[in-house]
Amino acid sequence: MDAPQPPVRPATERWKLLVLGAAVAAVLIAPITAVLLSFDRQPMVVNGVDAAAETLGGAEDSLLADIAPLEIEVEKLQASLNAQATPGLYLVVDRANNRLWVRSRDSVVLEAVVSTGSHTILRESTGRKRTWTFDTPSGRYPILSERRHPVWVKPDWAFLEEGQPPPERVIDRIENGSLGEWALDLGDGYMIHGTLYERLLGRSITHGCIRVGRDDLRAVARAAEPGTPVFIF
Amino acid sequence: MKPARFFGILWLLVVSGATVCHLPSAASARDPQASNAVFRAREEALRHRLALAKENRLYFVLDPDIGSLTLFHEATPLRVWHVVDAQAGARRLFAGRAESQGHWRAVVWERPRLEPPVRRERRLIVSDQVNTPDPAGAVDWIPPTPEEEVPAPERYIVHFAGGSGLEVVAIRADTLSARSSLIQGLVRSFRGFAPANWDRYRIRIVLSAEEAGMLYRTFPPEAAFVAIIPSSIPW
Repeated sequence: MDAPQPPVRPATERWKLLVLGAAVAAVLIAPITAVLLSFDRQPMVVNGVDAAAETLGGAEDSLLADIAPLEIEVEKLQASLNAQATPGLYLVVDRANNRLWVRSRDSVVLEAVVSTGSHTILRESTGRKRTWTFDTPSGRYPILSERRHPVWVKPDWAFLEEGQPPPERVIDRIENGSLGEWALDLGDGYMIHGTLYERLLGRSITHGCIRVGRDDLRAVARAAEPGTPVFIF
Repeated sequence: MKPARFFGILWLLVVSGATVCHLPSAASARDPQASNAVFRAREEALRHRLALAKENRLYFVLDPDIGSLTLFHEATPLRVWHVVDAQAGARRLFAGRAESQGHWRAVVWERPRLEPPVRRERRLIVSDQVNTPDPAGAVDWIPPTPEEEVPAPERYIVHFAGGSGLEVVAIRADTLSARSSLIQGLVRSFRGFAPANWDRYRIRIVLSAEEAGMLYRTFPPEAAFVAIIPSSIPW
């Protein structure tokens, strides 16, 4: 008598089992994969320093002999680094967040909300077909001069962006009061100056200069002098 | 035992194991010999900083002991972000805790790439179109604030060359409920499959929401990064 044959599963049932098995495997494997791809994180603070501070008291002489010169070398390196920092007060400008600080190596004297370049491109459609890009440049710039009650001699772009032709005579370009009480020159036409539109401070709206509110500008002008570095990032 | 029940229990065990593994590891036992290594690493980190200070460039220094991330130009500190928490780690797949401690000590990370990247659009004004109805030519345009122009995610990563990354988390995102953080942690783990996210080592810092946003918007494209051993010596 022949042994009973196992039932033959139809093809559709085999496919269903295959799909179910794959789904079960995926569900089981997913957390394992997630664990393997995750980071084994540890706090960065304290342990090393505490070990160093606490074990020095009861450490072997050989260990102390190794650490002492290292400690001296670390202090010398730190002092060397500190000596290279800019002495006195300096200015820092954050273009992306429209902030200005007057600070020293160890402390912040003033924080101000300012306006910086608008990232706008102005294209002259006729004539010389010039292009201007209104960005505040990054880098380190010394203050070249400080001017009180500065007068603005408007460049060509200031007329073209209003759809006006630039005037021929210089006297037609002069504008009083629009730069505020002080202008600190950084070179190449860039300045830190005041503004008539304090409600727009904090927004990127200038043609590259750094606009500061009246009271903050007075404090900046008092703290800075020709030669004071301005760091713009 | 029925197969369904068996697989269900097995799945629960696996998920429980995954949950436990996602908890932060306990700190390793203090090794007196580690103090020597700490000072050596501190010395090397300072040498790196002195080398960076000779170049005309920007770089960040993370000092977990005083809770600060400082942007420097040469040797001059420009801006300080206050760090609430800092952790370092390596992907379990590769190395685990032993190597993770070594990779950030006294090493300079270079060529940062922000993820997601910051996107800013430029406005174009054509001089003879200024007084037309075209909005691009409007002279009374009011730009958005930095927060409106570039809204910062609550969690972002700065990838550096060589498989290192700096994860910045706004403190709000760091204090989510345990269940939602587990789910989001699993989702982020799977995002690690993407080649762009293939960091082997990562430092994770927690900042206030405002400071995390300001760092995101302003991260200089060529800035280097150095993490130093906690030190009682002020920078």
